Amino acid sequence: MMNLAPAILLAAVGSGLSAQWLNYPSVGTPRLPDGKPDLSAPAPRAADGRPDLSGLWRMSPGDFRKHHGNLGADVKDVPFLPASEALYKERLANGGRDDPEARCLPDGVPRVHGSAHPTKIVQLPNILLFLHENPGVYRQIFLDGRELPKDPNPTWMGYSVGHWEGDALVVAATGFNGQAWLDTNGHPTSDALRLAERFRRVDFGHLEIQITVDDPKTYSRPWTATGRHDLIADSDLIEYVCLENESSLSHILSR
Amino acid sequence: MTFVKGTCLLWLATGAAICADTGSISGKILTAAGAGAPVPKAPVQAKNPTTQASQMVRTAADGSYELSGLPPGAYEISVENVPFFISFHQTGVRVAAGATTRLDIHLNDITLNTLGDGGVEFAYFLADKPTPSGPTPRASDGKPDLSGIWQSSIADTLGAPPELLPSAEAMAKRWQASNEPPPTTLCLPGGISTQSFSEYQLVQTPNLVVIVDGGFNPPRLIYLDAREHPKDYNPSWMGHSIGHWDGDMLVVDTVGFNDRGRLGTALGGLSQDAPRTEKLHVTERFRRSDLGHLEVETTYDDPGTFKKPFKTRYVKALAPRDEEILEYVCAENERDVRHLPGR
Repeated sequence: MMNLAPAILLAAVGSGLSAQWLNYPSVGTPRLPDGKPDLSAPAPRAADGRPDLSGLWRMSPGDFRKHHGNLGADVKDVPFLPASEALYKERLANGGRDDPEARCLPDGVPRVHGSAHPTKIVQLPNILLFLHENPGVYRQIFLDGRELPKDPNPTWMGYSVGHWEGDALVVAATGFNGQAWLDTNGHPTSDALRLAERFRRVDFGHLEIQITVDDPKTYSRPWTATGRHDLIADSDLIEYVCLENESSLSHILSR
Repeated sequence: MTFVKGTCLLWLATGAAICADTGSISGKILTAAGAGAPVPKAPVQAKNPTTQASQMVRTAADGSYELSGLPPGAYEISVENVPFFISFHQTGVRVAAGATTRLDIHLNDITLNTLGDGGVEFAYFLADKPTPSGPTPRASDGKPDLSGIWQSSIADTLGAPPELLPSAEAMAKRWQASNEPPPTTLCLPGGISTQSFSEYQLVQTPNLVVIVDGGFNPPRLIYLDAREHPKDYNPSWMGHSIGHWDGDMLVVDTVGFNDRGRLGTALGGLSQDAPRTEKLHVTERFRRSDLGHLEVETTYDDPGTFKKPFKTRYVKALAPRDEEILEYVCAENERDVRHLPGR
């Protein structure tokens, strides 16, 4: 990959530190006879009977290589509109020099699902929190039956509501500011982006995520990508402050 | 020496009718922007430069204040540490026996009144908003449920004010002399002491409390699963927090801070920015006294900065039902850093 922005290098260093304090046994983790977490045990249930998605997650290594760089890796033809295809190619050609992540701005959704940094999910009956270690942005999914707002304040992380369909959590998100990239390659977004996500915890250690991108100002039709997250047992988030000791920005290509 | 508001009454009670020997200063504190919105809860101090005696009151909801029982003389009036507003100082304010000196003060906000809304936004932050009422809610495990969106508040020091060690005093003076910006000016976290002021959302589960404050701070995790602090923690802005229930009180113990943060000003119940060291140990006691109020008493113990531990207290009101924490991205459209001193 030729388009690694300096912030990605910082991110890699940050995740290398994660062995420092985080070896506390997670409550309620099923164990194998040798004491290791049983990651293929059944998915846990919350008190209300729903699957409990709570835990510390990170995209599986194989999927990470694919999706962190290119959300469209498994899509035959990403249905670009002409202007967005030109923008995408420009970003590939210039080494991603306008990458928001390199300026410590949020990844946005769905790019953050492919981050090298873990995400902690905290689930309650009426709300589900995504605490993303990078870049310290959180996301709320309202499960209290509210509808998407008609005129949301445009943001990096959008406005999200969810409901259960069987064992899958189905999330609809809108209210994006159109500045985020879908991935490191730079698949563009606009403020017309509507995301549909489906989360299913297939067993204790694995979470399937299906992402449908519907952005009529950028793509001619909706398109879908899937990825898998692995549970990181007996560990936790560490504090990550992107701007701390920031000395990369001045070296970014062609600034 | 400090004046006490009841001094006059006390003297009357002892038979010495010298009340008329004093005067007072009163007026309103308003935003300098627009028509002037009242600034509530602002601390107004009168100091007599000759005797060094001082008196402080906070403004009421309509911005009014009254400093009474002042012996005649020329006073220095100051209004400091009002979040979002720039300090005000005026010398030579005359007080005559038996008279009231009128002094209205127009505070400049931190945008130098360029927001264009007449200062309404900043004044709104400081004002009391309608608070839902009802009994303390309980979680499914029977514990009080502290979850909710809690509004901005101002911490007060309880008991003796904090005393800085000489080394810390020297550092605070250096910051002041060099205009060294606090971390938040560089979009870095403010730390626990700023959470008294921040509006925050608290989410409680049986094993974990999460506080997200929609400001400079990363999400804060408070573990309730009986773990202990790690022996060799990675020093961080927010520290490592563990909590347990003491009756209906959630007691939270935090260590593992880095020494880059500051314990700050009015936000943390201090009269000035103070350094913090890796020795900092913070104990917070959270109590939801009813549906609408969260009381938090905080003990700061940092033997690298303070002569002895001190306490602050803040009371947050529950936000009205339709309020939500909004996304805040400090580095977005950032244009200030290159203009800061020493950059």
